[in-house]
Amino acid sequence: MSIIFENVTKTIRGKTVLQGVTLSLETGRVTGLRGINGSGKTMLLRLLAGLIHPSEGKITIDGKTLGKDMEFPPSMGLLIENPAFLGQYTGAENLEMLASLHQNVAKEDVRTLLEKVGLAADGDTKYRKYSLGMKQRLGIAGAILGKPELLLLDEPTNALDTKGVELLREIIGEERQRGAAVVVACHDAAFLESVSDEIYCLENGQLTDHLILREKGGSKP
Amino acid sequence: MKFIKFFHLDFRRGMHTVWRLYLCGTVLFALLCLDFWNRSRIFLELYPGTSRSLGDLALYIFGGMKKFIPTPGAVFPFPTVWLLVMALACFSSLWYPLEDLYGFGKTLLTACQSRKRWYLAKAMWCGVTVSLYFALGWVVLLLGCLAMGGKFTWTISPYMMELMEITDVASTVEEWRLTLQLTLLPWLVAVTLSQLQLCLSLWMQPVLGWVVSIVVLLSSAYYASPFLLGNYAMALRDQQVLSDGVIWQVGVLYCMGLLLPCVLAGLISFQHTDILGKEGKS
Repeated sequence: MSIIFENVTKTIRGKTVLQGVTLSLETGRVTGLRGINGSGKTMLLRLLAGLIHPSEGKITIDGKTLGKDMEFPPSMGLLIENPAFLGQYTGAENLEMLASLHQNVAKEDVRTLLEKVGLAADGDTKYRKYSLGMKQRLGIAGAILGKPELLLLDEPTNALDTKGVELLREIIGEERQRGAAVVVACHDAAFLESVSDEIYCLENGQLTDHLILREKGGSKP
Repeated sequence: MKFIKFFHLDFRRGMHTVWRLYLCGTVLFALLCLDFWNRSRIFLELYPGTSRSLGDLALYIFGGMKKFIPTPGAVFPFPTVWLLVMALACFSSLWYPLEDLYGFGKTLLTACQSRKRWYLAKAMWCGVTVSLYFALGWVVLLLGCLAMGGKFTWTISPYMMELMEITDVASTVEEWRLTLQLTLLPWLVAVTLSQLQLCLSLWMQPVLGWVVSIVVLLSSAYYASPFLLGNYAMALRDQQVLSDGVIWQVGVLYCMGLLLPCVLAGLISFQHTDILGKEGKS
């Protein structure tokens, strides 16, 4: 999967939230987005997720224009803002509901995923009884459900304890190994550097820097 | 197949959000039955030999109000019963679709890969939700009729015209036409308004869409005009009761003519809608 942002600008109610963004993402790579609040990280993820449309420029995925040739990226896992599940259902039921829309996910996969994010013992607990950290873990499980080719994680370390952050680091590594294109937007500079192959820095909706931490194949530049 | 799955998920999730409103609806219909029983007591004494019927009860709840002629000093008789029933019907489908879009629905939307599918499922959910509200209302009405020893007929008792303050009836009231007026039209008008609300909620706060529905209903009560949709949901505004009243067939066509463009406009608009977070919605 090859994703290209070509001079993408987004204006919302007269305010430019992203301006002239040009970047490319590849499979098997983890791309970090760094920037302060309001710098445009989440907007960039929303654009890539197909939730909002560019005001100018275009986003292409394997040569096809997003929002024109396709409504959403064909295989995408998404954790954006806070994880939003249904309080009246258990963690497992929530994931099963989501899995019912994927053709390649079996019921057993849901249990495996719960184990993977450290929620094996709490799979049958109602979501409303989950702590913030547990909710975030379930959000991560929901995002990687169905082995997506594109994985978008917005502030994935939110509410996670040290063990949770370590687990997340492992999961991102596994997703990279599997060949997914992973995009992580995060405040935590140390975490971002530890998981990313490259980092784009955003300021006032513009890309200000592009750091390559690992070349393709894993070697340091 | 995916649409059915998607709608099924909507139905399951949506019902969790509307059950309280259904409970309110049940209480409302039960209270209205009780109110009818109380009001009709006096008339039954005045008209010996008559009894209550399902048609009487339905006319009391869905009949609406007689034509209002604004003259100096005339006080507008607020159609509380009819307005409460219709307003709650419109309110029942108000919140879930857009609230869902900023929550779990966003994840499902990207998983189902189609904005069209998402909108159509929500439009269908609104229709089903309003339909279930009316179905529940009719169950309460049937039980209410049973409890007050009423007859299960559509025959309107002579005292009803007095109770509803109708002094003259334009023609002989045909039972089949009245049945349609009381069952089909209020439901169809409410379904149409729910689609209008869904479409409007893409541009404004959902509650403002509901305000539009209330304005349509209230202005219909005030002006007996065939252009105001609410008139078709009032059996007392039909031509068989009111000489210059509305024609029910026109009402059905009016609803269809508004419902389809609403769904279409919503579908097209949603294709271009930016799905922002809760803090960013318009």
